[in-house]
Amino acid sequence: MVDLFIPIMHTILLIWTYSQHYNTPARLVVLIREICNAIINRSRASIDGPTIFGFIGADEPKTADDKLTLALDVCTKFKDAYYEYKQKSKNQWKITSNALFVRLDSFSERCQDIMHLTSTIMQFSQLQRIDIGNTKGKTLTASVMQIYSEFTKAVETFTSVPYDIMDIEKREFDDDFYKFRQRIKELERRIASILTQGFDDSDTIIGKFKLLDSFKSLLNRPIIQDELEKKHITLLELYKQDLKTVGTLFMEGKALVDKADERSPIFKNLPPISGALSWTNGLLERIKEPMDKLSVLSQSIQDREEFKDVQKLYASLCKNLKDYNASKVALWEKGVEETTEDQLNKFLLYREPTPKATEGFIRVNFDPVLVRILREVKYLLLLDIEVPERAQLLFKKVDIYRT
Amino acid sequence: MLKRDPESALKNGKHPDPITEINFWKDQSQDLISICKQLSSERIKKVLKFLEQNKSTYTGPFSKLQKEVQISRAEATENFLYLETLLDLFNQLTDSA
Repeated sequence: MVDLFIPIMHTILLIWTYSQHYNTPARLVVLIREICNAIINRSRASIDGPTIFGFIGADEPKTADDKLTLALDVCTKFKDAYYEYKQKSKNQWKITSNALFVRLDSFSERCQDIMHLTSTIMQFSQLQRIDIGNTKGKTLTASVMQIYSEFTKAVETFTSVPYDIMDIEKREFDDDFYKFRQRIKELERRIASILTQGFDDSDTIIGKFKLLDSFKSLLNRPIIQDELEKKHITLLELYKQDLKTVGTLFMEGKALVDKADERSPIFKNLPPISGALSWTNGLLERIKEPMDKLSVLSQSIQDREEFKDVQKLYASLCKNLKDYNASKVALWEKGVEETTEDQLNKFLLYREPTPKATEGFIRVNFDPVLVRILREVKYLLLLDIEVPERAQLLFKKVDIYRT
Repeated sequence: MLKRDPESALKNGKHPDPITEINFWKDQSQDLISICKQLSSERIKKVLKFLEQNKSTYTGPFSKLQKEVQISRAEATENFLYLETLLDLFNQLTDSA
């Protein structure tokens, strides 16, 4: 349908240019308005009130939302086509757009209202699945359920209106929709209060983020967002604290690792290099996750002075950790380059030194240095770390060497 | 008849589609053509001759009206001719299938 707009407008402009009589604004207004009517009729044929409520009832507000987006898009496309040709007519089409598009515009508005409804439903449906933990969790979860059931009731009331909501002549819609919005606002305020309570109740930063995560898109609703903004400072403070802790952990751990101390924070079963790397990666992950979440949480938090501090701290810590990783790997790589060649050139077998040269056991002459390298390579590959080519070649033949 | 306006279709609370516009000019042109035919028929000519011979005051307005009808007919016919090019596009636009 959208493809038709340009040819139609083009023909209209041609008629305007060549016709003796059909080139007055009065004629054009009628024609354009009637085209708008046709567009509205088409849109309503594909998505009318009952269909929308059908999708909502069937738990598919997304489908309704998509269709409405499409309808809106068609309206804009037609207006675009009109303005494009208005330009081409060298401004001979001196008509106020209002006279042309009054009905199309109010239709678009209605579409937007209904999309507001569907998106609200999508966001609130999140509530069904929320389960808040911690000490107050049970009562809070119960309140959330209560709110959700009240929300469903509000939607039911709204969807039981006796007229077609896509009919723009039905002015009652505005009243009903206003009532619905008021109801939703009240529910939002209650959710916000639950959210803050739950937020204060959970004491780890990860826990707080999990709580926020579970409300997902609901967090974008203005009322809830306002309420949450008050909590941003707490969140930033906590995270800053955590960054500092990680920083200290890193400094202390590094000293221990460098001394190959027994208390160094490396897993017993990992070789030294990959062990150190997986330790630092652990630290990196610990600070990265909250940072990622903070960055997408909201714009207002990112505008804060405190956020910039935290960001700086985070960046420097990340850099330290990554530099440390790189230096560890580089050091090891150098060692690998030097040793492997020599070691591999040795004879495969050797005889144990005994007094009589021919009586000692025959042993495999495989140097422990090589064994160490092979072990490192194995774990480094598991950690997804780039391994020098030399070592990789060696590792590819590991099965041959083993036998 | 001459004062018929395509906009009237939009005014009484209905929402016609663009095909209405094409049909309006089609009807208008057909109606006016038939009026023209009637006006140029032998009987009317005779009446006119008669009126003229008797120096009736009615001849002036009548021939003026006749001219107006001619002009409107030409306009309506031309409009329909041009609008007809849009018919196919409008059919696609309104066809919900």
